[in-house]
Amino acid sequence: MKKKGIITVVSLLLVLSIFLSGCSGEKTGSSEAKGDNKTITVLVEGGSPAFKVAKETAAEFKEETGYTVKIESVPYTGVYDKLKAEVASQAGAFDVATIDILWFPALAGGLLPLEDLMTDDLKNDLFPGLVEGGSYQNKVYGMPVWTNAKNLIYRKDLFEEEKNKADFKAKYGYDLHPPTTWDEYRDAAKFFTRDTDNDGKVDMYGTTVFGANNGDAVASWLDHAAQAGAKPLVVGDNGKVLVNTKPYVDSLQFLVDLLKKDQSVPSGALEMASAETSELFWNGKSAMMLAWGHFYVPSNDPKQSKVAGKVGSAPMIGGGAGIGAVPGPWYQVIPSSSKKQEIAKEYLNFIYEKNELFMKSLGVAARKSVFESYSTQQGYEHLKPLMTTLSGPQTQNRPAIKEWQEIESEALIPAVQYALSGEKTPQEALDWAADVIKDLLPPQ
Amino acid sequence: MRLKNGALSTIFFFPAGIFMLVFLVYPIFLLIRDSFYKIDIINPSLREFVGFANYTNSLTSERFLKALWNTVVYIGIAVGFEFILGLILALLLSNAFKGSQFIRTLLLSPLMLAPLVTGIIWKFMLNDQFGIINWGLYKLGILSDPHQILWLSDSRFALYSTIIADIWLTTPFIMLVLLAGIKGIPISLYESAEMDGANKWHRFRYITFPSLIPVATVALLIRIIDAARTFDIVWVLTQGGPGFSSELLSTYMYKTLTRYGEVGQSSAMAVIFIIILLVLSSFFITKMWSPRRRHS
Repeated sequence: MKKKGIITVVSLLLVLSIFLSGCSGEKTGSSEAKGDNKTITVLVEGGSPAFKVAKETAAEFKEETGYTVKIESVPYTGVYDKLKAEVASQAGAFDVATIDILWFPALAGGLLPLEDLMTDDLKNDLFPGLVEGGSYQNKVYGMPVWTNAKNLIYRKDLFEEEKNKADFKAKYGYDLHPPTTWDEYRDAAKFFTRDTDNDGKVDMYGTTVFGANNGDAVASWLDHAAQAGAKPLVVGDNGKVLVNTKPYVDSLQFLVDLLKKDQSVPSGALEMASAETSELFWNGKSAMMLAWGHFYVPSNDPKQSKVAGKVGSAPMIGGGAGIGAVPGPWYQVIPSSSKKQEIAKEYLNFIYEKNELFMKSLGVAARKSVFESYSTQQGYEHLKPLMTTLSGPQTQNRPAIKEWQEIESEALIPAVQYALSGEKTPQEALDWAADVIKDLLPPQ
Repeated sequence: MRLKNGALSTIFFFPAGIFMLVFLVYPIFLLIRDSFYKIDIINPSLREFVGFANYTNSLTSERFLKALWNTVVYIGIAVGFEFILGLILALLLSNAFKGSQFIRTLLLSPLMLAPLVTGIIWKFMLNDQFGIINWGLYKLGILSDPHQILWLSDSRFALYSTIIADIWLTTPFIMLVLLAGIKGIPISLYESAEMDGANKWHRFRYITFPSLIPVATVALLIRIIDAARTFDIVWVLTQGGPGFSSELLSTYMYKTLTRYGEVGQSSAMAVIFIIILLVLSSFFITKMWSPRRRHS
């Protein structure tokens, strides 16, 4: 009996000790964060320009302020997940994070307002819409690090070839040039869709249509909706659902026509977004692409692209209402749970001063002055057209509402895919989407 | 004697019992509690009691029912094919022939891969522009156009493409389990059957198959529950698209929780899911125990 008693006591103690060691582990973790050691923790997407710039500048920041920069890098969705967890738990694990514009409505509740950093000098050097994009309900929460929009990237050699010029003029009646309107875009796409090795199969396409199961496809379609006159995008200021009105239907029809009528794009549009399109272009299988501006840089890099040196860039095409695009900027934010808010703000200003490092690493930045000084340099010819696109009359951000992620996943992406697959007409697909969105929005 | 054994068993169960209580029972209790509230993941303290609303919303929501149906189709076709293929392979490999050990190891290799990696491999193979599957079928003359079948972006095929990847990944598991079961059948049974003049089909039908039933039931049960929980493969290949055609319960719950931040709604869906799986597995377990008693 005594032996059994000892066994019981020992096993109970073992179990207790396991739990205690687990608990105490957590305690030492949080006390490290609370401690007055001089570090700030920065959360970035792994491999992104934010990561590279943070690494490159860490030593200098330490020299200037005495604070070590601890960099935490995670995959794209990991940044959103970790920040959400931070906002929910208020643990003080991060002092700065670099986030996508789309995440502001969901995270704004846990971020520090940055009004005091937004001096007039600073605001004047940023592209229109950048400060607003980093705001939620009129309070500024984000310091822009780079902005971007879709631009026209094309094969200069094909557009400048004499035979092409002559054939095009003969067929369409005007000079071949990088398209500036929807009709010119369709003509050029049709013209360049051809069977180059005479095996009976088309192997070169005019351009591509983004139809993959993600937000990139929605952004592409919204570019054209903006060009057709949509403003604001998808949801009006008073909460009215606009997604099944004329500019949206027309722009979706435009994409469907490229795919089904003209057949000037690869038929697997439902699997294509940025990565697949650039892959096709770099293999010389498409004459144009409407891609994020910075894709110009790797297109001319012989290590990545077979058509390096033959690539040009032009502003985004314009629709009935002019040039329009949906920008995709990224921002730095400070969680309000950070215990080092003053140093975090200093870090934000420090990185703002170093904004040109993003230009060198990615090919885009946030400051107009950086754009202007690099636009004359070789290898950065995409900057002038990108500036035109970013300042376009219809260029506007997506609505900053909490329900955006759900609206995109449950209504917009399926609607685009229904229309591109032919399952529904654009009007039917968008009527369906409008119903879904009405259910998702809070009652007005 | 009995009482002492009882006390001893309880003591041995105690550490594991506490572990289960803290890491299994308590979280499930929290899950069930959350399912009766409307909770936004950003402000979890602002919870609103809604009773059974989350449950009724789910059970009447077209999205949930479609995801449930897709899950049933997925389980039925995937496990069905895996079982039949696994059985055939196990039977073939149960007779040792030259190189059978090597082939067995080769066939086991998909099992070593993480489902996520499998998903990525198949995503590239099934790609209609660059994928090797379309190219291979075209070269064999089955397709008239190298880009004809949009495996992952045609809503008619998307779900079946994910099933194909799952079959490739898990058939080795069934094969392994059934092979072990076959090896456990006493050779004397086969010998006496041969002497009585039974041919190969008779031997399979009257000896192999009945002896495999307990093993097969366990394998099927494990596979069905695993297939119901499939997430990585479907997420990597199609993310539930296009147009929700390959949305499984697991991907829908994930989206509801992490993308839309609706904690209460996804908790209710998880509870419904657990109940369905519990009913299914208890059906299997009772079926497994009764034939045993009959045989012994």
